[in-house]
Amino acid sequence: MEVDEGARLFTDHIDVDAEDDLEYDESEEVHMKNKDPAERLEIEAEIEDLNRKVSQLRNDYKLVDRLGTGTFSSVYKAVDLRHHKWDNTTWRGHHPPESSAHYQSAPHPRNSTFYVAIKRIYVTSSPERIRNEIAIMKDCLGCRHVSQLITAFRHKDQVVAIMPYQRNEDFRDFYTLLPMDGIKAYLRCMFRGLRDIHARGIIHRDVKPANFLYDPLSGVGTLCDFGLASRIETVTGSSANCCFHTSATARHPHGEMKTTKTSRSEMAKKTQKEARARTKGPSHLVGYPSNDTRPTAKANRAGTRGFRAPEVLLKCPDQNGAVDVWSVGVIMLFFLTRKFPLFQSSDDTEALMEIATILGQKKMEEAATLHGKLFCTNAPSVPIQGMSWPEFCERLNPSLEEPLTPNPAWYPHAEIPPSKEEHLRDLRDALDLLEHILEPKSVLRYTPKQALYHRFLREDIGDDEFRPHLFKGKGVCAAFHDEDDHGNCAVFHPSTDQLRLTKAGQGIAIGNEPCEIHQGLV
Amino acid sequence: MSTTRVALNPRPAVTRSSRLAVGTKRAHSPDRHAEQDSSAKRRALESKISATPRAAASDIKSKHAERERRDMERYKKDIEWKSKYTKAFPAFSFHFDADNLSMSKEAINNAKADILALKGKIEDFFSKDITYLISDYNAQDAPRNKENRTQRRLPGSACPSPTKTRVPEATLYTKAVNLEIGVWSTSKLKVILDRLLSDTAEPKLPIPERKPNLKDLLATEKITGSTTERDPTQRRHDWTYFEPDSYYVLVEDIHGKQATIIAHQYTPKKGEKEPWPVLYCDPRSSNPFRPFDEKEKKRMERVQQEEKSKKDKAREKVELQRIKNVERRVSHGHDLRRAASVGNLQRRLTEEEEEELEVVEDLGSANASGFLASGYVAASGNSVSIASTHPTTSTSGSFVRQSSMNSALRKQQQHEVLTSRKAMAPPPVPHDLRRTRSTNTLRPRVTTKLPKRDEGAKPGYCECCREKFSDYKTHIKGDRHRRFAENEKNFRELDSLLGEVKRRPVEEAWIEDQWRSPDEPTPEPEIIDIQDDDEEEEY
Repeated sequence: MEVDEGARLFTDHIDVDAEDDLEYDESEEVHMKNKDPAERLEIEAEIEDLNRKVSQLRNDYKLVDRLGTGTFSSVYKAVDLRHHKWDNTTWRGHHPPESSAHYQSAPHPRNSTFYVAIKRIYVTSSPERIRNEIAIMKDCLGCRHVSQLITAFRHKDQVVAIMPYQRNEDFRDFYTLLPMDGIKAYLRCMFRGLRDIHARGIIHRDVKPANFLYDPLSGVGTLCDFGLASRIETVTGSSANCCFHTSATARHPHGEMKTTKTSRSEMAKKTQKEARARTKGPSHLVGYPSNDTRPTAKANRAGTRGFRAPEVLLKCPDQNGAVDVWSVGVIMLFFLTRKFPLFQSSDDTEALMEIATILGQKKMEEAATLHGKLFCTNAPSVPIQGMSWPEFCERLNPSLEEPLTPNPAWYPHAEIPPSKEEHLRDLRDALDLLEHILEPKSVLRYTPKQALYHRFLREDIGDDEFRPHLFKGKGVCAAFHDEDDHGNCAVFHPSTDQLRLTKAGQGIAIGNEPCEIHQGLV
Repeated sequence: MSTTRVALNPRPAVTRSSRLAVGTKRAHSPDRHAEQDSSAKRRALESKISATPRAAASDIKSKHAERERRDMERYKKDIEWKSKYTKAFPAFSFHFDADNLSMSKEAINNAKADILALKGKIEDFFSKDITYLISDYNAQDAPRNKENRTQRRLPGSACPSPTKTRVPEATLYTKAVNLEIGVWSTSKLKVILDRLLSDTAEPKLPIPERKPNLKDLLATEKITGSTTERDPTQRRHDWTYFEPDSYYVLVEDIHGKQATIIAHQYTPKKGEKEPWPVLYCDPRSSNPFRPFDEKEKKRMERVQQEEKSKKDKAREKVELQRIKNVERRVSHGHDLRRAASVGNLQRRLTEEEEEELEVVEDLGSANASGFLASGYVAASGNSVSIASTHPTTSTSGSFVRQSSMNSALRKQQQHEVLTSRKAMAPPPVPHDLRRTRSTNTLRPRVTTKLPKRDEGAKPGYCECCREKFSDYKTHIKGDRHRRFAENEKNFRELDSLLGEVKRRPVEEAWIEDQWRSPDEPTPEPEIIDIQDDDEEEEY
């Protein structure tokens, strides 16, 4: 399944802070006025249609606008009519005020309108696909900088999912203007989101600017659209033997190089050598079976062109969170080169070749070998030794060393640009991180945690202090958490024999603190 | 290198034999090989001879010959053995005695893969038809007495788990013996597989007279993988080859077990751009894979303009915000209504400016920032006077627009009239350009487009009905899809999940989220009715 243009959320220019004291219908009016009459009519018709098809919606939500349309869904903005009637704690989580994800947990003031995003999943999606997406979103409750599932319901074949609305701006409007501090904020949110979802065994698979709602004013970013997300699986059977790396483990989230020599690995080495020699020879002696009866390589390649990691393009059957990290690397390239998009390939072959022209044959070969593949090309534009990513950035952006003038309205609201030295230090760190997250060999690619502890993104208080643990993970009160085979969860009182059944999103310990239920008890 | 070798040696069989020695430095025919090697050795020996007594020299010589002979012997044997087994392997079928395997799971899986690679079969069930039973059941200690076998455990196996003390495991071995089926231990299997799949080390000095057996060699080739151990100069009739002097990209499974992954040939056309990606890395181009040509030059100029106005716009916003705050402070406690309207006004102004700017950019107007400055002066200096006028869809009225913009807008509208084919579509207003840009990201932004969802039929694939459709709207109303949609069975699993993500009213949550003793029943969520429709007093 391929998405080439995922749901792009329109820029929203209306602040909904309580200060403005706007009635919701007035803001709606202003917003809709921004669209041309034809589009407005169309949106109104769609809203009407959705209200008719899913009658439950009308009682609780007032749809006011369309935020975007994608391949598999449309997203609408709506007023949460009875916001305070509901228990909103399960999806808000309990991120402390010091956490960058506190915006998710902060209760909404009673006197102002709470907006939600309503995702209308097209009815041609199979119930199983929809179930997968919602199950993944449910498992991501409590993750930082991840779009939180408030609820979801169905009428006949129409399923809608409700999430908090997140103010954001079009990536195109800020990526060339965002100074280093802003880039850091962007990446921190992104990596925190990825760290938390990967810890839950989930890969997003479609990380790109359109799926990361970033608000430069507040420096807050939210990862959204889990329509292509999948779970990290430990691959068994014959395909487990094809790669020379292991599956993801808790210790090695991006897998590990297999080091033991086998007859298989020895043979592979030789095959590799021969292939290299063959590539140097004449092209008419390079061929492949005409009627190939061998099984075809199967691998998940869901994602967007230009953002796919080498292992996805090389059809590695055993993918993990490293694919998301690569996509973040591509976004980081946009910031540093001030160009977007960078890759223009129309298919996987071209995508691989584009990367090859930069990294060179040797690195591509090595990356391919890791996944049990041979990469051979004699295209004149692919050098033996390519260039490094920092070099790539420097060549594409000659003013890389000049600090950008900060926009005081934008987070972190700096008034004056950083000194040249400061900027150069940041730049050096940024380029160093870039090399690690655009590492072609997936096993060596930085994990989100490593990225967050890298010089460029590290903060005084380490990220571990704010990470939401799994329900039965490493939280300090984990001993009092229990889960049965059906996923039913319960927490136990440490001093009495009482228990509490918990909902998804509840009982999540953060950092060294006990979960909200065990606060003051453990 | 390889081509000259072929020219020197017309016999492909011999060539193949030399190819077997991939690890050795020389890749010549055995004959030449022998010559060269022996002459080199002779030289080495001669230098030794000069220093040692003659007898010793001849002794060394004969020892050498002896070793060579033995090496060759071993080599021959190995090839023969391999050939024998390789030929036999496809007829072999194995059953793994799962309860009596001392090897790790991974090793077993590897062994199984190797068996399959050698075209052997693996049977999941034991039957009289299998050729070999793979079992580490200790035959010596195995009870001969049938009466005893359920009582006795293998002495070698440490601490048998109670669940594993079952009758059939011991019988599998005996059954095999009784049926005269061969039993291999896992270690034996590994030795055989490793030997079959390893490369035979070429003896240091092959016997010159040796005539390689073509059949053997072919068999060996089969084992070691057809794509890798072949003479690369020999084209195969059942393969597709890239054209001479062509450029290609080929991605294959290194183990040769999976079908070719990518095989693409580039055919460059004269006078056209290279068909493969070329990294220009020109900072002036939009994209590293594009040369900086006239088209890109025009684009760059447009972008620079845009960038500049974007920066100006951002600065303007900050400025406006400041003014807004000042206004707020001034009006605080005196005239709230005015404060609010100023706020609204400013928002509107900001938005208008953005829209206008987009138009400027889109039409490549030369004076975007100049316009902005004038607009800004007006807004800040006359904020009260504009408060009453706020048309956002017309091109006149607000004097913000009474600037150089008007001609640009007029052009824009003319353009629209000329290109728009949809009679239904009302003339566009400038501010839709911004949205247009968002949806139409990769193309130049000169065109104004209607939302693409309105453009006729929307084809796609329905995962529910497992069929392609030419129009979304028609398909989802169709009988087949409606039948699927109405059938609750199709959504059973989804519904069970949706039940878990229901939004809970505060009261219900409060009741549910209480500590209770383990025997206390949990309250049914149905106790409270969530659907109280008429409760909208808040609005």
